[in-house]
Parts: sequence; C-alpha cells; structure tokens
Amino acid sequence: MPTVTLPPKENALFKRILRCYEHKQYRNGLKFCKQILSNPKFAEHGETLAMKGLTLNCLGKKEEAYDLVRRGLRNDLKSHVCWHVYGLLQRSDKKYDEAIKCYRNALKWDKDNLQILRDLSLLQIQMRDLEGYRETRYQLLQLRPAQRASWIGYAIAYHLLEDYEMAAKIIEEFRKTQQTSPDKVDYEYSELLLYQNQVLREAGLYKEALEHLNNYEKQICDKLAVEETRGEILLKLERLDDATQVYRRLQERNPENWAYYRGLEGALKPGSIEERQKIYEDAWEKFPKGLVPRRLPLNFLLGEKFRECLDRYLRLNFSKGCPPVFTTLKSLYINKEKVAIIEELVVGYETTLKSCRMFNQNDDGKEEPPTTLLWVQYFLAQHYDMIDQQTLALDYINAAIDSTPTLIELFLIKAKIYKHAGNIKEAAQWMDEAQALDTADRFINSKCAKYMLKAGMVKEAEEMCAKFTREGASAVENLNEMQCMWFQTECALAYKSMNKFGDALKKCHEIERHFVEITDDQFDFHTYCMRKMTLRSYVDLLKLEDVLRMHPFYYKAATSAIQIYLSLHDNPLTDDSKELQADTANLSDKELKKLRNKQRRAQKKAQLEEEKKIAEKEKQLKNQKKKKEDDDEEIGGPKEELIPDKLVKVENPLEEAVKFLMPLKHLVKDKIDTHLMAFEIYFRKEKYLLMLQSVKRALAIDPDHPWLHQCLVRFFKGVSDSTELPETVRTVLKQEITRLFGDSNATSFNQAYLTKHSNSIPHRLAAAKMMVYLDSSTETKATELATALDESLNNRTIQICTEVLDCLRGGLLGDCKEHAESYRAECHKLYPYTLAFTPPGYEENTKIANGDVSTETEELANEM
Amino acid sequence: MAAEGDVDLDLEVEDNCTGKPAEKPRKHDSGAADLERVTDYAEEKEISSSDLETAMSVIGDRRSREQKAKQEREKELAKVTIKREDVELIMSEMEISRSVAERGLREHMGNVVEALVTLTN
Repeated sequence: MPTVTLPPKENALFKRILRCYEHKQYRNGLKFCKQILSNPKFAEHGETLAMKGLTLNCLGKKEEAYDLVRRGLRNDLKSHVCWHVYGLLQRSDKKYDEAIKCYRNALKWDKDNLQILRDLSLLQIQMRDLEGYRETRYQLLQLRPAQRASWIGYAIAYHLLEDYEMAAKIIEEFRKTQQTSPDKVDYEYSELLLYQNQVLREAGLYKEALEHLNNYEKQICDKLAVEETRGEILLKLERLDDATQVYRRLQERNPENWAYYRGLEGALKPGSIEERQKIYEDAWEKFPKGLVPRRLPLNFLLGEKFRECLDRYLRLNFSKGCPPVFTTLKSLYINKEKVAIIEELVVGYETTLKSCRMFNQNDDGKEEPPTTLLWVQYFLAQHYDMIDQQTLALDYINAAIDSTPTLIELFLIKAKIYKHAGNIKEAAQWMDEAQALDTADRFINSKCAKYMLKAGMVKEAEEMCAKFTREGASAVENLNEMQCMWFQTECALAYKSMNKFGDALKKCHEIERHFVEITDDQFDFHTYCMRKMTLRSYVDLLKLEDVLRMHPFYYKAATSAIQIYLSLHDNPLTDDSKELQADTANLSDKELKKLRNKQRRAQKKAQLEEEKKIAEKEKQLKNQKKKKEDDDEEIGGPKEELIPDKLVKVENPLEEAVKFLMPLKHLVKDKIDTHLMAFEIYFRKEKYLLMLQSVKRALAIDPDHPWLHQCLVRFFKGVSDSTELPETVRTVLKQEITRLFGDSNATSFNQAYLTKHSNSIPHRLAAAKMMVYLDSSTETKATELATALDESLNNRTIQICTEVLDCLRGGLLGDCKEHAESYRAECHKLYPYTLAFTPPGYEENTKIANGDVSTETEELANEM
Repeated sequence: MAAEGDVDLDLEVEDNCTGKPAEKPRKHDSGAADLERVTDYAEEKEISSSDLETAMSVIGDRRSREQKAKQEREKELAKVTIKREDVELIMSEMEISRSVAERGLREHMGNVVEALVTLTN
C-alpha cells in the first residue's frame, strides 16, 4: 500500500490519470498529473510521478520517463503501483528480466493483485521461465478458480514442462465443469477437446486418446483432424484393420496426400515390394488422374520395375506439359542406377519424338503434339545440369529455346545452368531476359533480382525489386519493412564479396532484428490464444518460437556476420582508407589511376545521391511527425540506427560474432559448420576448453570433415605451444585429447589424415594447408598436393577448385603466385564456363562486348 | 513494439478490479487491432460448479509432492561445497553465467575437472 494517501479530490484525479492511460489520452493524463503535482503537498507523490513517467514513455520521451518513474519509486518504495509501473516501463523496453524482478517486488506489497500476477505470467511464458510460470498460474488458479483462463493456463504450464499426464488431468477436471449441449456447435469446446486429445497422445495414452476421440467425436468440428488422428492412434495401437479402413476413407477424400499412403503402408504392412507396389496400383485404378500413386512407388522400386513405372509417369507428364516434373524426381538423384535409367529413357523419348513424334516407335500410332518434345528437352536440360554436364544441358535448352523462344521457363533454366557452371554474370543476363518476357510476374522478377545480387549488381537488383515495392518509398527500405529476408541475405553476401563489410553487416543485423521482432510479436498470443481456446496452435507457436533461429534465413545471416567479424578481427580496419587499400593492393599503376578516376566520379555521384536521400528522409520525417500528432500514440523510441561505418569499426568483433553464434549453438547442433565456426571464434579468443567443446561436437557429426581437420591440427598445436594455461584446464585438455585421439602430435596427425584421404581433393587441400601452417618449408609439396586435378581424384567440383585457387592466391599454401596462374589455366580447361577460371582480362573484354551495362555496375557498386 | 501496445495496467487501489477493457489499436499490423478486441478482459462465463473443490484438491496433492522432491534435490545440491575460484574458472573458460557454472560444479560434487568435461560435451 502506498505510504502517502491522497485526499479524495486528488485521488479522483489519480484515477482519471489511470483511465487516460488506458485510453491512450496521454496529453490529458499529463494534465491531471500536473494538477496533482502542482500542489506543493504532493509535488513528490511517488505514484503520480511514476504514472507521469509511464505516460511520457508512451509519447516517446524515454529518458524523462525513466527519471520520473525512478524518482517516483524512490519516494514510495512500498507502493505496488510504483513497482508495477517500473515493470511496465522495463517491459516496453524489452528488458523482460528486469521487468519480472519489478513485478515480483510489486507482488511483495500486494501479493494477490491479479493484474500484476497476470502480467508476470505473460512475461514468464515469454521468457520461457516455465517453472515460474507454473507457480504464477497456480496462484491465479487459487485466486480465481472460477475462470477458464486460470485452468487453461495451469494445464499449459504442465504441458510445456512435459508432464503430460498432469496436464491431461487438469484439462479433464476443467472439461467436466463445462456445460455444453451435444447438438450445439461450440468451436471453442471442440478446440479444447482436440487439445486434450493431443496431450493424451503425447502422454503415450493411446487407448485413452482413442476412447476420448470416440466419445466426443460429435462435438469436434474439425472432422478431418478427427479422422487423421484416429488413423494415427490406430496405427500406434496396432489395430491395423481398423487403421486400413480409416486411411482408405482418407484416401477417398484426397488421393494426392502422401501421408495417407504412408498410413496405408503402415497399416497393411506389405511383406514384399510387389505387395507394396500393389497398394499404389490399386490406388491408380481407383483414381486414374492421381499423380501421387504413380510418383511414390518410384522411391522404392528398382531396376526393370522402376523403368516401367517411370515410363508411365513421365509419358503422362510430358504429354500434359507439366513443367515441374523434373523437380518431382530430383530426390531420386541420390541413386546412380535410377539416374542412368531416367537418362536412357528420356534421351530415347527425345530421339523418337524427333523422328516420328512418338515416345516409342512401337507405340500404336498415336502422335504426340509438338509441345511434348519441348518438355522433354526442358527436362533433359535440367537433368544434365543436375549431373554437372552443363555443355549438354545448354545444348538441350538452346534447342528448346529455338523452337519456342517465348517460354519463360526455358530462360530460367538456362540462367540456372550458367549459375551452376560458375558464370553468374551470364546467368543474371539470361534471368533478365526471362524477366523481360513478363514484367508483371513477381516470381521471375524476384529470381532475377536474386541473380543480380549474386552477380554483385546491387543497384540493378534494387531497381528490379522496385517494380513491385510500394511507390514513394525506397525499395530497400520497403523490403526491410516487409521482412523480405532472402533479399537481405543476398545483399549481405553481395556486399561481403565486394569487401563492403559495413553494408553487409547492416543487412545481417537487419535480419537479426526481424527475428527479434518475430519473437516479440509472440507476446500478443499469450492472452489471445487462451481466450480463443486455440490451444493446439498456441502450443505449436510456442514450440516454433523456441527454435525460430534454426531457420535458414537466420543461419545464413549469422554465418555471414560471423565470417565478417572473424576477418575484421584478423585484419582490423583502422581508418576508412584501409578498406580500399585492401582492394587496390594488387593492381598496377595504370589500373590504379583508372580506379582513382572512377572513385572520384563515384564520389561526386554519391554526394548528389546523398543529398537526394537526405531530402527524402526529411520529407519522410515530416510525414512521420504529422502522423505522430495525428494519432498521439507513438510508443517507445525508434531502434538504434544501423550505420555501416560504425558496424565495421566495432570494438570487439569476436564478442559480436559470439552473439550471432549462440542461437546456432543451441538450435543447429546437428550442422557441423556451427561447431566449426564456433571453433574459429574461440580459437581467436584462445579459449581452449570451448575449442575442445566445438571439436568434440563436430567430431560426433563427421570426423573426417576437411575443415574440422584444420581445426584439430591448429588445436593440437595451440595446446602444445601454450604455456600459460591454468592447471585444471591443462588436465581436462590432456584427458580428453588422449581419450579421443590417443597421443596426438599435430604433424603426425596431419600425415595420417593425408594418407587416409589421399584420393579426395578437399581433404588434400586441408592437409596441404596444415602442412604449410605447421612448417612453411613444405610449400612445394603442399602446393603439389593441393593442385592435383587427376581424373582419379574424388570430389572434384568447381567450388573446391575455386577454393584451391583462392588459397594459392592468398598465400595460404606459401608464396606461389605463378602456380596460381597455371592452376587457373588447368581449371579453365576443365570448367570452360566458370568465370573464376577465365584468363585475366576476359571479363573486361566481355564487358566491352556487352556494351556498358556491366561497366556501369562497377561504378555504381563503388558509389555505395 | 507489440509488447508495448498492450501495456495493460491495473493500478486501481481498490480490490474490485478483475477486468477492464484494453482497447488499444495496435499500429504495426492491421490484424492486431482485431486481435485486441477479442482480448478484452471481460471475463467470460464463470464456472459454477461444486466440482471445483475436488478438482482443486486433486491438483493440490500432486503439487505438494512435486515441490518436496524438488526441494530435496536442491537441498542435496546446496550441501555440496564448492570453491569460489573453481566457479570463476568455469565461468571464464566456458563463458557461462555464475548460476550455470555453480550448478555444473555441484552436480559433479565439486570436482572441477569432471564438471568441465561434461560442459565440453
């Protein structure tokens, strides 16, 4: 209770402040605050001061707000209102931990205050303090056992703590108290029943779950969910005949759902491939138009049977003209035998279609339309691209384009082939061609923008996207607002490869902020879902949010950011010119002059652009201000602006890298790169135990990974070289290294690795790099090892060859610039399309040949 | 942003404050305004049942048992003596918080090497 009690008049005013706050009439609220505070007797009234602060916070005056609320609290430390307000202020600032502490303090002075308990429970679930959440929900249940939310919340607490039985029990107790008539449709009750059933199943109580389902079936609105659940439970209970019937009914509803075939297989338990195939043959007869019963058997059939089934599947699709047919078969490409059959079959089609317009000469007379040949060629282009025979792939796609030069899909594939062949510039051009054929198609527009970004054409990509973004705003800003993360990821990569680390980091941070925002948005649902009883979706949402940063978007952004921070640590930038110097280091005088000129021009242009931008911003700001005044509810201050120059000059890049790494360490444990990136960070921080942790985890995933090998060698050398490790740390390291590797010395370890993997290029490169790392006199041998390109060696790809070339140029294999040139020439013979292997000056020439389009790019790129 | 929008405050000094409207249109997306309307605190139908008591007792029993078990485990862990410098070593080497470091150490009966081995797994 407050220490100072206001007299009735002021008390009434205070209540009006509260009301104004609730109704967002902040200015009025402030007026009432003034009325109380202007009375010298109450000038230091804690609760009023706190409320004034909270109100100001809503008007964007954060600092003042904090001052006032803190002052109010100091004046009245025993007031739950002051503590509650302080908690709310912290919450609005996303300092949830602090807010929880404040609420706890508030509860000390008013332990049964429902509103504070509710707010506390919301924060606890948001922060996933599940134990605390259960406690709070228990108190709420004690205080208000007659409210639905009390029961539901308490049950959910147990569910999330994985005490399913208890959760089921609470729901059942609650359900019994709900009176419903069986004839009335009550969607909320239906949801409750389905949620209860889910909990029962998760508890492993299948019998009870089935009984439950049978009892309440009539009151459940989602009939499909009932059937699907029933099938699942019957399978678990091994009641196979019943399950078969359920899945047959489901199949009737939707013959294209893969899951039902899986269920059917589970129920019928076919003993042989023939029996298994029969399931699909039956379905095919029953649903002659169904594609799924044709496609699924291709997963398990082999040899002649596979060919037969594939033949029918492909003919159907080719005659009909089904563009994504290749995509549906992509997953089969892990099996070499199947790839060979596909190739033989489709190449055969092409030959006979050309000669007699039929799939097979022995077919009885029915001629195929000319489009069939087109789709076959389209398929073959994708097929050869997939197996890395880009020359053949181009032949087929060009033939198809010759026959039908207006089909967008063909250009799309052509671009893709060039991309895979390592010529992204050419690829972007073809994608642009495809895009030009239909400028109203956003898919192809986005694809084109993506390829442009991959080719480093940031400005063009922005302009491309601008065709679909909101008018009046800049495309980049609009895309950021829309959380368009693919675009931002590609931008980050593009900037990174141009060594514009600041801009790249900005993009990475923008993506990170999207994820923060998504996590925050979850707050709304804690109350909403419980009220609407959409508990299944609610629990799903919570589980999704728990692993949100597992998403590839986050992974990619984090990876880029970490790589940049690592290189910022290795080569810190002291001033602006450094960034440019890195670029100019290996240019001749003439080139340098050219570059300087270019830069000067670029600077001028940039200046103009900057001015334009500032003008635009001012305009926007004005607009915003207007809006602000309009609806008087601007909340909180804007987030700190991301400035590339600042980002790149970060004080401690490794700490920043760790921030991006932590979610991956928790959520993406099964990816080896996570642990290897972790190693790279900790190696630079000289945290040996964390290095040990990283290699242990990576070792469990793939002990022979080339990157891991490099980590291990550096780790061993680091351990044996370091002298100042604490005794305990040394003991742990010694014990664990002995347990995992025996007695290992870095040089012999590297030698053993090389012997084991001498026929694989990536492994040879890793070993060679480590040879030089351990002993720089081994350069010649190392270079020889890494640059071998014999046919007999495994894992020869464009990527690894590019990596070798980069290592040669970067001096990681010793000083061997002339080797780099000869290696490049050799690779060029192997991969004639790959840009990275083209002779020096080649790009320049093509630029001239292609007109000024790409020269422009360079300039524009410099501008930014 | 979202969180701030629904800063619901119940600061009434009286105790009769179970619910109050929270009609604040959110600005960051249109759906939220709609969402807000349905989240009104108008408490729906209350459960009017004598079953409540039995239901509550079922839950109460279970709860007290649970707390006991938990407390015992905590007590046991609290009994383990650990050295401050060990905790600090773990904190700095593994870059973890004090509470996690302490717990790891206690779970291995104060053996710092074993604790570290587990933490590096």
